[in-house]
Order: sequence, then structure tokens, then C-alpha cells
Amino acid sequence: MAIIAGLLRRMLVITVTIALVGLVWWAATSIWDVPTYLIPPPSEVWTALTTSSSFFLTNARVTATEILLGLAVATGAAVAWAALIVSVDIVRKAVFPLMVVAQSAPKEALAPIFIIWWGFSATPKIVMASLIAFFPILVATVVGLERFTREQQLLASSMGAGPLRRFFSFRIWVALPSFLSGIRLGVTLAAIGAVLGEYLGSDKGLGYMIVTSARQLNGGFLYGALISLMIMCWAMVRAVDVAELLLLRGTRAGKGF
Amino acid sequence: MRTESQQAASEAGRQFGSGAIGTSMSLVLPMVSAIVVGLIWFGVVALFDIPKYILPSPETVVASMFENRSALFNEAQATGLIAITGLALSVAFGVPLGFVIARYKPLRRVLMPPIVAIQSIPKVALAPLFVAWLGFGAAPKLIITTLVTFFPLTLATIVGVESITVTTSQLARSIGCRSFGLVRYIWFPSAAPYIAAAFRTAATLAVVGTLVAEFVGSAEGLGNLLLIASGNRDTTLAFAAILVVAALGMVFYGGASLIARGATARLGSEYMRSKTT
Repeated sequence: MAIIAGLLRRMLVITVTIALVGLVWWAATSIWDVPTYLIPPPSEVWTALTTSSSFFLTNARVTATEILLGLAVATGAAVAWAALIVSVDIVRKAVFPLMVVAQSAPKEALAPIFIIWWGFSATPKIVMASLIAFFPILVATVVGLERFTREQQLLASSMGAGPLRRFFSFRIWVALPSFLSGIRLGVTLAAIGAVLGEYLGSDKGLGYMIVTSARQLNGGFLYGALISLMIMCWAMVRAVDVAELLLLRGTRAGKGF
Repeated sequence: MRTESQQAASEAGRQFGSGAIGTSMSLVLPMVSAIVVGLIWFGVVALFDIPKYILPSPETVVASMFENRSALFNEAQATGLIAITGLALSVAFGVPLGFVIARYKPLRRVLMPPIVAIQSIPKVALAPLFVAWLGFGAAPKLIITTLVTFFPLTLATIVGVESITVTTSQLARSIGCRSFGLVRYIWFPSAAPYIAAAFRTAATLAVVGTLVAEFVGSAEGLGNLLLIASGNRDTTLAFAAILVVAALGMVFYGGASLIARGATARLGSEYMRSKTT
């Protein structure tokens, strides 16, 4: 019950905030007579969104696919590497410090090269998304797996769990909270990668809509696409929160580390 | 929530990056890997006869770097200037804002949810909007860079202040530490490690933010050079520019680490002194 009440209150706060922002936005555009290509009134954005809803949806689907595929590739690779890093000592000593360093390298600079290699297709966007999202997920997964203490290992063994059982029935669950916060970071980063790829070379997707409508000074479409993108990313991050809530229900980890 | 994994990352950095292996190794390893990557790159290009416009060999990239050194230097300077200014603005406003939010509970309850929500939004995606508003000058780039680096610093400051235990603040109050003194001698030293970690992250984010803003709309900077080079299918120059971006990122990260370490050490000793007197 407490959870539901909390959710309702949060929904209320969000609704009020959105309403307030919309009101200020509307008031600002009607008082100061700003050019509509700079800041269109909310009504214009609403018109663009509703009259061309299928166009928005098609492009949003393209971008969402790129983000999710990028995230999936990054997660798969990160989990594989993390398993290798925590189980093979040499790999950990040789590779993991590099991965931590690589986390802060400006990988976005490679985007124009990816466009040269793969053109306007979805590939450069997915590669960019997974490249940026990979490192934080990897680091978070390794940190999570490292949280499996000697005592927990002994406890698992005392229950008769072999190495495989220890890993899959115990260690993974210990690592889950940290892994999920890695995923949460990864979602936003994958979105940045996908949209950046679309900015640099594409013929569809929300990023494509944003750059073209910015160039054509089409305020309604520009704001509509930006808002769609923001809502989409926010919803994806929230989905991770919900997954966390469900997976860690009733555990101590569910209340934080 | 996000700060947890940031913390985890820095924890990992401490544990594996320097602590367990040693600082000399953490310098040697990237160098060794750079050499290994260079060798693989060289081998792949030589072995598979890859055309130059797809993947130029490392020596032609280095030659191009040398040939275009003045252009690369100028563009790196332009990018670096924007990144530093944006970072400085974020520190100047983001950290004090963090203290203010941490200080006033009602403010925190109102502002924390949007700040956390903003963290999950890809802010660099807003670049085309600012370019449409403000044109190809420095302003949109500066706004993007500040926007990208601002919130991690604010959030870290808040988390840092919240890490202060009740006993510490009660003790401080009992010895007559009030408003300014409290901020200066208790809050700032306690939040300093958090701010330092966020500052290091923000320094690399600043380079990335400026670069992306330059991709979207700019008449100068490394991002612009990269776009022009890739538009001309001058992949060699593009790779040269990428290496310069990577170097700039390292300079920013290294510089930020030094500044952060210096500031934390200094404030830490001040903290000790204030406790003994």
C-alpha cells in the first residue's frame, strides 16, 4: 500500500510539474511574441504531434530500436567480459584497468568514421550506442560481482552449491543492484550514441527529425521530436527502475546497497 | 541512484586502477595497450590491403598529424577553450547550487526529483535546438558543455553533504560552528571527495559535450574539422583529429585529477587544523 501511495504522490508531482512548465511556456510565448521557430507555443507542438502522429511514431520506433539493440549488444559484451574478468585473474589485472581508463575516453569522436564505414544505415548508430554504453555497464557489473564476499561463498558452499550453482544462484543476485545501475546509465548513453549517429548521417529516426526541422526552422516538429526523445529515454530508465523493484523485491538490496 | 554507480566506478578505479596494481602500472598499461593497438592496426591494414579512405595505416595518420599540426593545434585550442569555460561555469554555479539545495530541505524536496530525472535525459541531444537559437558561435557550444557538466557536480555536492553524519554536525553545532563556518569547515571538506570525483568525470564530459556541439553546428573546433575531413572522405585527417581529441580528453582528465587531488588535500588539512583548534 505504501508503495502505491508513494507512486500516486509521485505521479501527482510529475503532473503538476508538467502542467506548470506548460503554463509558463504558454505564457512566455504569448506575452513576449517570440518567433515560433525559436519557441513555438505548446499548442503548435501539440498540433504537430497529433496531426503527424504516425510520422513521429515511425521515427521514434527507428530510434528506439537503435537504442535497444545498442544496449543489448553492450550488455551482452559487458556481461561476458565481466564474467571473464572476475574469474580469470590475469585478464582482470591486464584488461580491467584499461577498461576503467577507456570509460573516460571521448568515444563520440569516432562517430563520423562510423558514418564513413556504414553510411546512413542503422549499423553506425547501433555501434556508437553500444560502444558508449559498454564501459559503464562493464565496470558496474564487475563491481557488483566483486561484492560477493568470502562469507557468502562459504554459506553457498555449505548449502551444497558447486561452482556453477554458486555463480548462477548466488553471485548473480549479489551483483544485480550494481549491474542494474550500470544498465540505467547505459540506457541514457546508448540514446546519446544513437541520436548522435542520426545527427551525423541518417534519413530517419528522431535525431534525423531534430536536425532537419532545426535546419528548416520548423519549431513544432523540432520541439515535438525533442520531447518525444526525452520522454522515450525517461521511460526506458524508468523501466529499469521497475525491473529493479520487481527483481529485488523483498531483499535488503532492494533498499539500496 | 546514478551516483551509486558513479561511486562504484570510482571505487573500481581506486581498487583496480591504482590501488591494487600501483600507479606506475596504471601509467604503463595504457601505453602498452596503445602500442599493441597500433601494431594490430598496422598489421590489419598491411595484411588485408584495406583502402586508405576506409582505414589509413597508423604511419600515414601520424604523418598527417605532423603535416596539419598547426590546424590541429588551433582547432584543439578552440575546443579546449570552450570545454574549460563550460566546466568552469559548471563548477562556479553547480557546486554552490548543490550546497544551497542540500541546506534547505523544502528546496531539496522540490528540486531533487527534476535533477535526478534530468540525469536520465540525453542532454547533448538538445544541441540542434541551441544552434537554431544562437547560431554557429561559441554560445550554443558553451551552453551544451555547461548543461552536460552541471548536474553531475550539483548531484555530487548534495550527496557529499548528505554523507555527513548526524554526530558530526551535532558536534560542529555544539562547538559553535554556524552558517559560514559550518559550510567552510564541515560541509566543504566532507563533500570535497564527492565533488572531486564528479569533477574528474565532468572534465571528460566537457570535452565530449563541446565535440558533439561542434558536430551539430560550428565553424571551428576539432568536431568541425572531423566533420569536414569525413565529408571529404579524408579519413586520414579524420583519424588524426580523433587522436588529438583523445589526447585532449586525457589532458582534461589528468588536469582535473591533479586539481581535484590538490584541492582535496588542501581542504583536508584545513579540516584537520580546524578540528584541532
